[in-house]
Amino acid sequence: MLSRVRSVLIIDDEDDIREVAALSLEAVAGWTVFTASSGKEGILSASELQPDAIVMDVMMPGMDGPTTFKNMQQTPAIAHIPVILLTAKVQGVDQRRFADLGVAAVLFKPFDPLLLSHQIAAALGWPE
Amino acid sequence: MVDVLPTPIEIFIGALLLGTGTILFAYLRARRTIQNLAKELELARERQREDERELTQRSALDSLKDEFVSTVSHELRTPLTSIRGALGLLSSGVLGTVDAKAQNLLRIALTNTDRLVRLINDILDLERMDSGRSVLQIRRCSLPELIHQATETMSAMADAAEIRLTVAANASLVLPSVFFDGDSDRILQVLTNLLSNAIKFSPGGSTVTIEVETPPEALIFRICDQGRGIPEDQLETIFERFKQVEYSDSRHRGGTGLGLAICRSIVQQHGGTIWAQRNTVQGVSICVRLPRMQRTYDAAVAPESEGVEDRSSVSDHVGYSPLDGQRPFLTETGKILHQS
Repeated sequence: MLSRVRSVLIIDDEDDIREVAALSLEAVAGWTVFTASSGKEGILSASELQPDAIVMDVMMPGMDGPTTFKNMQQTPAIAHIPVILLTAKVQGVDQRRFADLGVAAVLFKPFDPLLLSHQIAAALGWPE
Repeated sequence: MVDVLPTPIEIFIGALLLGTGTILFAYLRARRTIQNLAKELELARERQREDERELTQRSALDSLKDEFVSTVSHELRTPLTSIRGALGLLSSGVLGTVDAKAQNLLRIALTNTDRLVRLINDILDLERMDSGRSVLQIRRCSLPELIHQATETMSAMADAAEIRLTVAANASLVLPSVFFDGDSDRILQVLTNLLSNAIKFSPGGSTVTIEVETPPEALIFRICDQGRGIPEDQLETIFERFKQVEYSDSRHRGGTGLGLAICRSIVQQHGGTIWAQRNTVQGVSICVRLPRMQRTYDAAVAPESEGVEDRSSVSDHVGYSPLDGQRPFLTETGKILHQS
């Protein structure tokens, strides 16, 4: 169990992945998890809920992950919240693109549900 | 395409009468009219346009292929994420206990999901290497360090299979001084792949040994097992894609049939060779010979300063869970991004 209860907002348009990722963080780490199914909804939720971190998909209809991240950076109320991309785009060219965005970390799908919280904590320097 | 136009030539022959004798002389002069030069110029321009068209078409095809591979990869990974995640949570017991029969079924489903993920990773890896987009990051590497990392990584798998991993005594003597120019991540991938194979095909209680030789200008390492061996007529074909000694190996041993093909691609990219040989008593040795120094930098070799590499590989952990490896990579701003 991690040292203190964290809150994480998961933004992903895939219902099943949202559910599995949320369950993973809740059951394994005991974190509080919020979810949103689009970038737009994610920005609203983040502003209202002020989570400790945001875990976001890249390929989403409407506003994709990178665009959502840029919008978040321009929204003072949530610009400070670290964002981790959780993506199935693993090509080298994609990695470079994500690296240039300035997100806190990039994690790749498929993820191990037992390790996901540890990977997030390690990427954000959260003590475990 | 038409070759260069024929050039007319003028030949001048003359004689110079002097008091002491006669001097004969001759010279040639190419007659290049303005029209000829204009035609040649036009031909050269046409050739250049053709080359540019060909290059653009090739580039467009490469982009299409990249896009296709990227899309296929993404579309396969997305449903696998839900499947892998759900199975992982259920079988771990964090959501509650599951009876033994159900647990066994979950284990089967989980093992095969991981196998499918490995297969996707391996296919992507090979595709990238074949297309020449897998760029080596050449730097000075320490073989002992890589062997240490590989054995440490594979120790859990070896322990589970009751296999002893060891470095040959004579290798220990030469190891401290064994350095070479190579891509450490890729050579580590070769070592872990070969160790994984050796463990998979060895009986419990046996030993897998790493031997090292250091002939001048090269280094050779061998992964020797005490398993069932490889028939003489398959010693070469096992490096081909999806070629395994027995058809059922991929199902029973959990491999993808691509591991040795990937090893061969990596070794060849380094200018080295890989081969299999039967051991005198029992089992097989997979041998790798690498040049100590990379003298040439070709298209597939990039200088160290190139930054984030074009390396979509997530199969650097072939042979154990495809999901448990975390390889951090650095952004230009120095932040660490984690690849898992």
